Amino acid sequence: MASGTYGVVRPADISPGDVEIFLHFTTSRDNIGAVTLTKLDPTEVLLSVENPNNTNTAVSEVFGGLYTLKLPTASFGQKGIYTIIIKPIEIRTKIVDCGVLSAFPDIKGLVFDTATVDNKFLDKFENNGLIGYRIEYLNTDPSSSQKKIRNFFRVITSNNKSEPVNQNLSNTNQKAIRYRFNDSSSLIFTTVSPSSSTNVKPNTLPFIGSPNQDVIITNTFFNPIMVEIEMVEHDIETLAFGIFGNQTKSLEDGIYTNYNFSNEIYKQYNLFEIKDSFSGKPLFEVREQKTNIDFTKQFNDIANV
Amino acid sequence: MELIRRKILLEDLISRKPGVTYGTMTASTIYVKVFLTQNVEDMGMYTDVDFSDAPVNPPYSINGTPNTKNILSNKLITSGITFPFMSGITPGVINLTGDTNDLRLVNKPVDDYYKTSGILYGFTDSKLSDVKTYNISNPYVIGFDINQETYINYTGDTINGVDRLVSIDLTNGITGYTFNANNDAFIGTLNQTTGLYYNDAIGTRTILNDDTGIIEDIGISTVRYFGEGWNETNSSLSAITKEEIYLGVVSPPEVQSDIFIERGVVSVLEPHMRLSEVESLEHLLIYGNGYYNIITQ
Repeated sequence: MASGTYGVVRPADISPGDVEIFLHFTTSRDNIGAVTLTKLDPTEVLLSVENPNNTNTAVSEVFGGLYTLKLPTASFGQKGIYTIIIKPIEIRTKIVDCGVLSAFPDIKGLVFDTATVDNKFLDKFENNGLIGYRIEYLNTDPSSSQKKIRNFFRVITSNNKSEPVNQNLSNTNQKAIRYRFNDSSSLIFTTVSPSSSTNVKPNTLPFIGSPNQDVIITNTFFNPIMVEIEMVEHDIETLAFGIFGNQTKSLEDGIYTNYNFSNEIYKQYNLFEIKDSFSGKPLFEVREQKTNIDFTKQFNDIANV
Repeated sequence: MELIRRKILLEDLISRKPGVTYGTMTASTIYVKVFLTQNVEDMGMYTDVDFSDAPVNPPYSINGTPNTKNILSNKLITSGITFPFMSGITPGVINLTGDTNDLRLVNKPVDDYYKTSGILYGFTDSKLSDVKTYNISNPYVIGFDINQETYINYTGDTINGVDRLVSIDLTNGITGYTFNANNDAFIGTLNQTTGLYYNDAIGTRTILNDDTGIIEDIGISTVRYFGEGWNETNSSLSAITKEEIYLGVVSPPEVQSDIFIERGVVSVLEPHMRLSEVESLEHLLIYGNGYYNIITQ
């Protein structure tokens, strides 16, 4: 064990409200077609697991990391490839202003208005409730073909309810809007990183967003994952039915039946010969799968005769 | 992004029971386990900022009714003018859910964050000698206050603190003594919530002596006290913001003041004293002392 080190990966203990789940289906790998994503309800699909170490069973305690995907067969019952994307939920809002703090003019930040935020996300906008969230930006140029600014994001380092103040600037008679923290306000002053200039170019500041720019705010509570579920008709198990499973052949009507390991009818076939109509010479032996199952050929019924 | 691949056999979801359901999918749900992780990093220290937790000005309206305590609303009402803002478009209601102890919440003063632990116990070594008197024949006097000190406790209450030997039970081998406890009838009882109360009991427990590296037996001494948790002596409420220069910096810079510059006594003579270290013409060319201007020909 090395002293002074620590792990940086922890089991996530998110709630379904922190998650977005998308689904894509295709019947085969060479038939992707237009990728259309369906949104699944995380409260229905993502189930947490109870921590067995919790001795107070009256109060639930999430078992970190482990979640169960509950997928309805009504949506997942087709042969094909289902791709499930589990990612942090998006909070879409608008930057209403950019500015600096009255007490710390060097600290630049973005201003959000809680009135423009979906009610279900308002609790995140409590003081410093957005720390660690990531901001991604949408293009302000309406002629742009791509709405999202690719490969560009900032990380929120603090957020506080703030109000504007018209503050005198030092050494001039100029005044400008600054922000100060006030819990009665509905505006949120948010600092992001990176937002400072470098030592090399002290007058060059990184872009952190502009007023009226639409942004996407997402949590970083967990690393997104993709689950690819391939629904198949056959695997080793079903092949084993044919090789090692019980079989019967009814000599009277030529029905050949394969059974699974529970002795239930797995497949049923008609066996017959095709003969030359004039000479009666056998031409083919045929095994044709029956769609109309003859349930009188249950294995247990036959074996117990 | 992590990719998890699963192959699920449709046959497992299909009924093979005889009857009308044969060959149809009767399972309603597929369950797949996934494990979600988070990569974490420490953002580092934050900077305190003053904040206002009370309305600076009375609001324009309260519950949709114009507020006459607001100067502007009052002036407009008395002038017979109304505007929509006077009826109030209130910001969205924030519904907090889950554990938000780590957040500074609106209208929550600092004492809302105070929380005590209650009575706590722990093993330690004996402090009995601290209540020993100078009486040679009877050094341990029950009820004698070896020290008295009036102090203010964590809630601001005045405590008449005493250090006292409370009891010696020779039969059961239990000796009780207290430090800084309020001089009242609760001393030595479970209701004592001030100071530290010690019990020395018969028996031994083992500890590792760091100096010798040997496991040793020591007496059983128990300390009991009231865990004061977060209170006015160790808590303050402030808004915090992030100065980016401290991103990833987890503690404030420390000034190491072990560099001493001696000045004054010899400073006037110092340039001349340095001349004693000039041993050659090259040294003199370099040094010069602000006086010697060496001209080479």
